[in-house]
Formats: sequence, structure tokens, C-alpha cells
Amino acid sequence: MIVSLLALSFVLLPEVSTDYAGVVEGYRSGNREPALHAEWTAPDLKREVEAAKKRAGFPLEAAALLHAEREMARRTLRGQPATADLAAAQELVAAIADRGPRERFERRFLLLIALHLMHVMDWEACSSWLDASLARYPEDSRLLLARGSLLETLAQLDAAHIDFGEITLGDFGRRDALWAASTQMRGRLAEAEKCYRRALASEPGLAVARARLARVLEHSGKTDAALVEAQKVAAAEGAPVSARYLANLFLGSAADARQRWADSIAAYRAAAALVPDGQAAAVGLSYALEQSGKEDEARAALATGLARAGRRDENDPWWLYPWGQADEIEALVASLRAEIAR
Amino acid sequence: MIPALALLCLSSVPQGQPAFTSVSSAVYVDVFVSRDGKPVTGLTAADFDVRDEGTPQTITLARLEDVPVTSVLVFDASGSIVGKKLADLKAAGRALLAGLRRQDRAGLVTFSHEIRVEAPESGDHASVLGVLEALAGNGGTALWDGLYSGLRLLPERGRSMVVLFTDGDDNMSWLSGPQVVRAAQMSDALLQVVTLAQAVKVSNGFESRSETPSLRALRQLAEATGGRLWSAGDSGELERTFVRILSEMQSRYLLSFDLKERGRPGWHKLDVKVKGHAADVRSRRGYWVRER
Repeated sequence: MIVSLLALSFVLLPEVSTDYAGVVEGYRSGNREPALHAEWTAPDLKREVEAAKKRAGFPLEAAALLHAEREMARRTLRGQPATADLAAAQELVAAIADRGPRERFERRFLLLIALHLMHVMDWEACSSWLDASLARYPEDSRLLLARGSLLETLAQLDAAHIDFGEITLGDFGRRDALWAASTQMRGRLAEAEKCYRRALASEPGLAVARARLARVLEHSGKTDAALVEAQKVAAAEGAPVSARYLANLFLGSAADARQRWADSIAAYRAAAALVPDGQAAAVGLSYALEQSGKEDEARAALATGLARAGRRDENDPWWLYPWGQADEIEALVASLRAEIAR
Repeated sequence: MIPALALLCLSSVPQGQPAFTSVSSAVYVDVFVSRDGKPVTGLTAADFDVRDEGTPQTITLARLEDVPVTSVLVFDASGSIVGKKLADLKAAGRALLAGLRRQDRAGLVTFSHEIRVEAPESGDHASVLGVLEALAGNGGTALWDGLYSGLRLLPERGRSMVVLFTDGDDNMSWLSGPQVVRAAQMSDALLQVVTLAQAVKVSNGFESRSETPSLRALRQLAEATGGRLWSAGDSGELERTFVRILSEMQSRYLLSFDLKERGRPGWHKLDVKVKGHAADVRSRRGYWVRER
């Protein structure tokens, strides 16, 4: 009786189709184009994924990465709905975790999906994904950096809808709503600060986390602490240029707030030297020069910065700032591809 | 201690055309007077009451036809400016350029996630028209950086106007709204802001809350320079709006008064009224005197 039940259950176990297995194997071995353009209905894909999870030895990492790439190729703009591939990738990465220690792949895969969701501005899904990922790897520096970046962007979006001048008006309903939005914004900044500090505790050399920490501290009114962190990054010659550029911008901004124009000018000049195509540095420098009475220099600095227009897409880290580390997606995909090919 | 915003005066140049000169002893005020929404014409210097920090000033009135205007168009070229909206914006820009006088100057700055000086200000209206036709929308919206650039790239001297068009809120600038307000206070430019937002509704004497903080800041900034916020509502209205802006610019009064001595550094509040007339007066709210 037991034998026959086992036999029956074996018969009822879903099987991975030859087509699906072939597509995944082709992708794993580098033949990506057919895999990226293969068509499945959502129910069929769900069945294949369920079967793949149960089949011993099936290359789940390759399948997960394939579906992640398909999601990224099909969903490039804000507002586009998630594809069935995203759900498939999520299912598969969970199965990878269940099979045993694949931590190196898993951490980077979790980060890849988080960065993609941030890139397409699916804030809610990104937040849920990062919460689940950090529940699994609470002190992963890159996941913490991504979560801090997300919270920082959400806080900025809160701020864009708050007119602080209105808070004192007698419209009590409106005032309460503004206070609530303001409280939410402060809460997000505080949480972002914690994320960056934990990221730095795990990886002290993560310069971009320290630069971002400086920005959050400044927005939280902790200007002295912000200056300390920004100065550390600005002075760290081994740090990535983008992190040092941002740190110098933030030093300029903190000096602007204190009307210390000489300090602003020095910081923006340093930023412009690091990233000559960075318009943020040019605009900040021009403003600081103007405020210090150097109008001709202000005009010249702006003209110089704007004359290099057309290259900012690739070269200005400030432009990418609201999207966190989305510029790392390509490199992350390449490294994961290399790993599954082995 | 040079009043950066407004210390301008008229003087003769070899051709006999009046022109503004730098570092002078006059404050220049561009005024629009209307009644029931229509411009009031025919006023003389004696009809105006201008007070600097409450002190009445002796004013002179310039002949507008003698004074060239520099108009810098600062256009939103972000990803939302495409299709009909882009075509309507180009038509509006064309209409404004076509209405300029021969002696006027024009320039074009665009902003998306980056700022581009598409056409530096010059007397060559055709070149501005050429680059206007090639505009295409793409990317984010660095509105404050774009406006700052438009203000900063204006010539130091002369009567100038910035016409800012945007259909959205800033999401990319380095400078903040308050910083650009301060820069505008230090500029001589009149700012006209054109948006596609619906007009602000007023009920029970209070403004509707539908106006975003960013739009409210732009409106307040425009009004502080003597301009206003124009809500086109639909892109099909842009051309008519731009023509109205130009028409208003050409029916304003250009007042100036001498500073007896250099003013104290900082912001100087100006009050401009028309004596004995029930009229709406729009002019800048003050000017800035720099520290020496």
C-alpha cells in the first residue's frame, strides 16, 4: 500500500518540460538571447518553476537569474507592472536558500532584485524585498546600503510635498497632515541613518555609505556630525571617485547652510575637479561664488559646467543619487552570470 | 556694497539709444498696471508713488521703445515634454520670438536632468528659433538648477525677462527653492512662470491646497520679481499665454529713481502705487544691496 502511494505521488510530481530545461541550460551556458525571448504563459511558467524547485540538481541559480534578467528587460520604467518573471525569480531564490549554503550567490541576487525595484521606482515592492532580504542577512552591508538609500529617497519625496510654511496656518486638518508627513520624513531619515551606520559597522571602507550618512545627518540637522563623515570620505584617496564627489558636494551644501562661502567654494571646486562633467558641482560653485560677491567668477563657473552638458547621464553621481546603487546593476548581473556558468 | 539686483540707470550710447549701465546710482523698477485685467496706459511719472523702505522717491519714466529687452526662455525638456505638449511649447516659443522687436535679445536654456544653454542670449532671434525646433524631451526635472542658470546667464545690464515653462515639480536639482529665490532677489530679471497646472481655486478667501509647494514657491518667486504665475491649463493654451506675456512686457512702465547714497546692505522693500487710481499694480517687491 505504502509502495503504491509513493509510486502514485511520484507520478503526480510535476515534471520540468524539456523546453524549459533546455532554455535554462542554454542561458546558463551563455546562449542568452533565446532564453530572454522565450514565451510562457503565467500559469505554465508557474508550473515549470514549481517542478524545477522539486527536481534535484536543477540549476536553480541559472533559472533565477534568467527570470531576473527577463523582468529587468521587460520592465524599465516607473509604473510598469511586475512581470511573471519577477515572481518566478523570487520563488527560485527562496528554493536556493532551502537547498543549502549558497550564500554568496544569494546575497548578490537579493541585492540585484532590490536595486532593480529601486531603479523602476517600485518603492513598496523594493521595501518589502529589502525587509525580507535583511531578515535573512541582517548585517549585509550592501543590502543595508540599499535600504538606507531607499529610505532617503522616500524621505526626499515626503519633503517635496511638505510646505513647512503652512504648518503654522490655522487649518488644523491640514496642519496635522503636514505634521504627520514631516514625522514620517524624520522617521525615515533616522532609519536611513541606522542602516548606514550598520553597513559601515559591517564594512568600514564602504565610502558611499559614509557619504550618504553625511547627507542624512545634514538633513536631520546634525550638521557637525555630517561634516565629520563627509570630510572622512573627501579625504580618502582610495575611495571611489563618485563617493568623494558626493562627499564634497555635501561639504559644500553644509557650508552653504552656514553661509561659509569660502568653504563652499573650496568643496565645490574639489567636486568639480573629481567629476568635471558634474553639473551639480558647477551649479553649487556658481551659487557660492555669487553669494560671496564674485559675480563674474560665478558666471564663468556656471558657463564652464554647462558647456559640458550631454555627458551627465553617465558621469554625474548626483543624477543617480535618488536611485541608490542602480548603476551597479550591470556589473552585478555580469558577475552572477559568470558564477552560474561555472 | 553694490546693489546687485537693481542698481541700473539709463545713459546715452554713441548711437543715441538709451541703455542700462552698470554700477550706477539708480534703482530700476518694471511696473505693470491693470484695471479689470486690462493694461492701464498713458500714465506719467507723476502718477506713481514709489517708496523705498517707506521713503517716497522722485522717479523718472523711461520710454519703453528706447529700451531693449533680453528674454531668456527657460524650458522644461524633461521626459514628460513630448508629443503635442512639445509641439505646443515650440509654437509658443516661436510666437514669443516673432513678437520681439529688432533691438531685443533672446536666449534659450533647457532643463531635464541636466541644464543646457541651447542658445546664449544674443540679437540673433533666428538662431534661437533654430534650436527651439530641435528640442526633445528626456529625463528628470532639475527645475531649480535650470531657473538659476537662466537668471545667472542673463547679461548684467539691461531690462531682462525670464520666461520659465514647466509641467512638473523638481526632482533632480542641486540647488533648493530658497537658494534660487535668493539668487532671483539678486538678479534684475522679471520672472514669468508658465505651467500646465490648473488655476488655483480660491474659496472662502483661502487658496486651494491643490497647488504643490513647488508651484507655490514659483508663484511667490515670480510675484516677488514683478511677474506672475500663468496657468495655461492645457498645452494648447501655451501660445496664447506666451503672446500675452510679451504683450504685457511691452505695455509696462519702466521707472527709476536715484539713490542719494549707497543703501544699507541687504534687502530693500519697495512699494509702488498709482496715485488716485483704482488699479492693480504689479512690480518687484524690493531689491538687494550687497555687502561691500
